[in-house]
Amino acid sequence: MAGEPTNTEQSTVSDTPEAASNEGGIIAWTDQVSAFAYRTARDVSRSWTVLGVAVGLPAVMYLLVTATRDFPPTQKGTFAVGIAVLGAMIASLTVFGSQLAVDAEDKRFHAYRAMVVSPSADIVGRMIAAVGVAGVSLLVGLLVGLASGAPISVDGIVPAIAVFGGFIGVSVVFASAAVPVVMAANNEQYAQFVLSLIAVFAFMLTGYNGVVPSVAVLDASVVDLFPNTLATRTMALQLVATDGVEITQTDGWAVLLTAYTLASAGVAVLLVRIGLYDRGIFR
Amino acid sequence: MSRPALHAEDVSKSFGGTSVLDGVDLSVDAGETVVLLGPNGTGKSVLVSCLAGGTTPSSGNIEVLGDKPASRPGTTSFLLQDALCLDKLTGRENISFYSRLNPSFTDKWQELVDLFEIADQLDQPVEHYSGGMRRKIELAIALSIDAQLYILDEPTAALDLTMVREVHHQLSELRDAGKAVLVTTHLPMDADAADRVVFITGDGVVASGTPDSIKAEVPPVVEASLKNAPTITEGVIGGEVFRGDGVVRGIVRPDTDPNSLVSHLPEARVTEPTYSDLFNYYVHLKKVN
Repeated sequence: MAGEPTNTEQSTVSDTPEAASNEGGIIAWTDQVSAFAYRTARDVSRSWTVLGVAVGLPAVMYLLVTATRDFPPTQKGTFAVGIAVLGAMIASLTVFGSQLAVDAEDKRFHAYRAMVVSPSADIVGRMIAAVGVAGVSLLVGLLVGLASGAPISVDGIVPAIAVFGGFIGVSVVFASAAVPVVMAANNEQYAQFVLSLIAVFAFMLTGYNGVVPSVAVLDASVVDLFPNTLATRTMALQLVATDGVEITQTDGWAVLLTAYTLASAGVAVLLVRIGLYDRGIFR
Repeated sequence: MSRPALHAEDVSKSFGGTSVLDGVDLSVDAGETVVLLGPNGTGKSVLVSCLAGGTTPSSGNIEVLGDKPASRPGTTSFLLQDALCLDKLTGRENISFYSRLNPSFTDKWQELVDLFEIADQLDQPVEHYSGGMRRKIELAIALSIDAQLYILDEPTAALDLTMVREVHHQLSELRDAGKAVLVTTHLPMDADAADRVVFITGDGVVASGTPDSIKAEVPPVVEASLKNAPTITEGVIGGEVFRGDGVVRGIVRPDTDPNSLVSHLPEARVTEPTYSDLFNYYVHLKKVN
């Protein structure tokens, strides 16, 4: 049963430094991924602060804003998507970052290094849990929007794939952004505060993740290139009938978002390897 | 002669220009238990973290089974003080985490949690554990890893005497199974579990040997009542006496006859050195001598 420590046999031990470099290592690597994913999910499921901020706060924000003004249904829909993506961003940052910060503060990486834990397994496992919670937050945000009368729906498999791709992209980018913050803060509470602010600032600077460009702090040409803008506009265009709403997607958004995703994940793995696991790029 | 399981030579570690370790040499053979004794703040935890591969030393050479530390999974089990368990998870969930994380994790934890009398608390969050319970669950995790080398940082801290004896028994089982064991402590009674005792101070390793040989090097010890402490200070090393249970003890200077020191004092005697005396001698007095 998952989570029960019942291992009575010993797995093949890797002969090489990097656990994923041979067959036995791949088994060890996937075990380590599941260990971090399961532990992170368990930990966050008992952290009402993290859950409240990541899942509850964006939904409450949406309800407050839509209760104080009358929005046309389409605008309500795009706003719901923007807020739901904000929830996913907060979840990615805080779920991924908070436990990473706890491990760093408690010097637990000394033990992980001694156990020859694979840094990539560590980051992938935590990322899986963070993206899972981000998915819950996104879903809650969309359901709240739907319940309030926002016209949200998905029409076919291709739009669904586009929405999923946008969600994965923005979640991975923001989870990865937690790594340098945690390394610089070296304190869980400080890191958690800064992590939440990053998501909220990105949301405000880009005009509610690019769905209300008129309120963006940054210039439109810059807003168009932000990963949260690219992802949110993709989702809004697929989930909401946007007639009459001025949302235009950047040309080549899929390539750009994919590049952001891969680059941020790559940098995060490198930072974790070098900064937290005290390893070189290849060792 | 076979290669030691752990061999460290001239290991130094500095943090931001502040030296914590300076030129430490240490080795542990397979089938040997080495107890590293030293006062708080002498870099024992930093040293063992370097030896386990948890921290990179600033200089020096360390080999574990002929390789660099932490270059292969399953070679070393490292118990780090108060760092293994996540507070919000239960004891069982923490064990589960390490069982997935470490390919060499075995089911020995089931026997250990019974022996350590924490089986009934396994489903409680670790944040509700006492210091001793936390130490026991971490010990159960570290001792369930099937490794050739065990590096245990203060495994008996916060444990009651019965549990300290149980830990000593576990260490002797590891030794009998041919494992190399390095234990740090500031509790002299942990020397009971040692094949070899190493004393470390801010100056590095100041003494190393079997318990008998290291005890034999210590000059005679005198014990007197508290009120007679001033009388014996002249004859003990550094003029320093150490308080005990209603008595004071001092290590007699080489140029002093211990019997003459106590013969005129009621309730005073010359006695065999205990591990506490050894600790005081090697850690506090040897440099004075």
